[in-house]
Amino acid sequence: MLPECLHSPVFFAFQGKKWRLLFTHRVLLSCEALTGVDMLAANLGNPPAALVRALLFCALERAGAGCTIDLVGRLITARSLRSIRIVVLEAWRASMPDPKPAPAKPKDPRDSDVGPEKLTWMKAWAEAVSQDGLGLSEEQWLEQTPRQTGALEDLLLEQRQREELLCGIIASTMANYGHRAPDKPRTSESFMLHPFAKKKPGPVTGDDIQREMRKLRKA
Amino acid sequence: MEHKALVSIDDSGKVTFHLENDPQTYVLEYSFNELAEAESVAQTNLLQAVSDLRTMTAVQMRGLLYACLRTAHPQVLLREAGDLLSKDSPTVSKALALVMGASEEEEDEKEKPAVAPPVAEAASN
Repeated sequence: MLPECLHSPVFFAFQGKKWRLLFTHRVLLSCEALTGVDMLAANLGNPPAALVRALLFCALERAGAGCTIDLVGRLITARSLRSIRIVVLEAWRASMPDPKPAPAKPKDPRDSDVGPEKLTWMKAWAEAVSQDGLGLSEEQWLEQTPRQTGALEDLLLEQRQREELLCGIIASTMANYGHRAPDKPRTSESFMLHPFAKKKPGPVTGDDIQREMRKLRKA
Repeated sequence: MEHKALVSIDDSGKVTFHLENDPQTYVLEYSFNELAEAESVAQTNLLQAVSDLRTMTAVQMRGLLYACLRTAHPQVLLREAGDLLSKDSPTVSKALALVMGASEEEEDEKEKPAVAPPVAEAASN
């Protein structure tokens, strides 16, 4: 299956076989139904016992291991608890998208109060299956991990940003060279609905110092 | 007050204790299923409590006692677990610490576990 090829493998030995653990949207929905925990906002830093048991059970069920949640609970003994937690966390990391840098702050101060919207299952589904979004079928989306969907969303975002930048170049040119041009020229990026993410400042190198020295000499 | 005489442990890791002026004998047993199910009743994270017994809160302690009692005493209520702690907190705490420690020791002694321990494997090129 494709998800297995795309993710780093995490195995769990059970009944003499090794089972590959992955958390697809279907697994996460099953887990949420079992525990009541919002799996889109779940923090596995300090998971409750019910969540660890449900995650392992749902992932094993997806892998095809015939088991019950009670049997999975009996597997988790005081000694094996630590290693099982590590395996579940590894599988979680493999299935979830990498943390993204924060988007640039909007130029309009009226927008600054609005924080990032909380992701709900409805929004995640709509973005995935909408023709303006990823255009996936429901089945495709359910069988994907959030990491896969995240990779597709990144591509979609790049495409949107490219289109918005082109529109922004036209809009900023009109604004800056129009009758009532602003004192401080508007940038193309200031017209973008999805601004580029802030780049993390890297370590200061010798080249950076030389560049700054050249600027000083010219000044 | 001598607590040692009130708490005992058998080969299977079950901890038995009784309290002064209480004819009932209580049996504590580690079960992850009971821990998971007790979390919704106790409204607390019991896995966190198991990870570090020294820093657990009163709510977690009551929940952990409730979870450990449930195998041998299925009819026990969360409130009754709290009452036991009120009666003799040192004895009950000692029994809890013993059942958690014993569960780990019991597992260590098993030469061939029925279920192979889980393994996380890195991608091999």
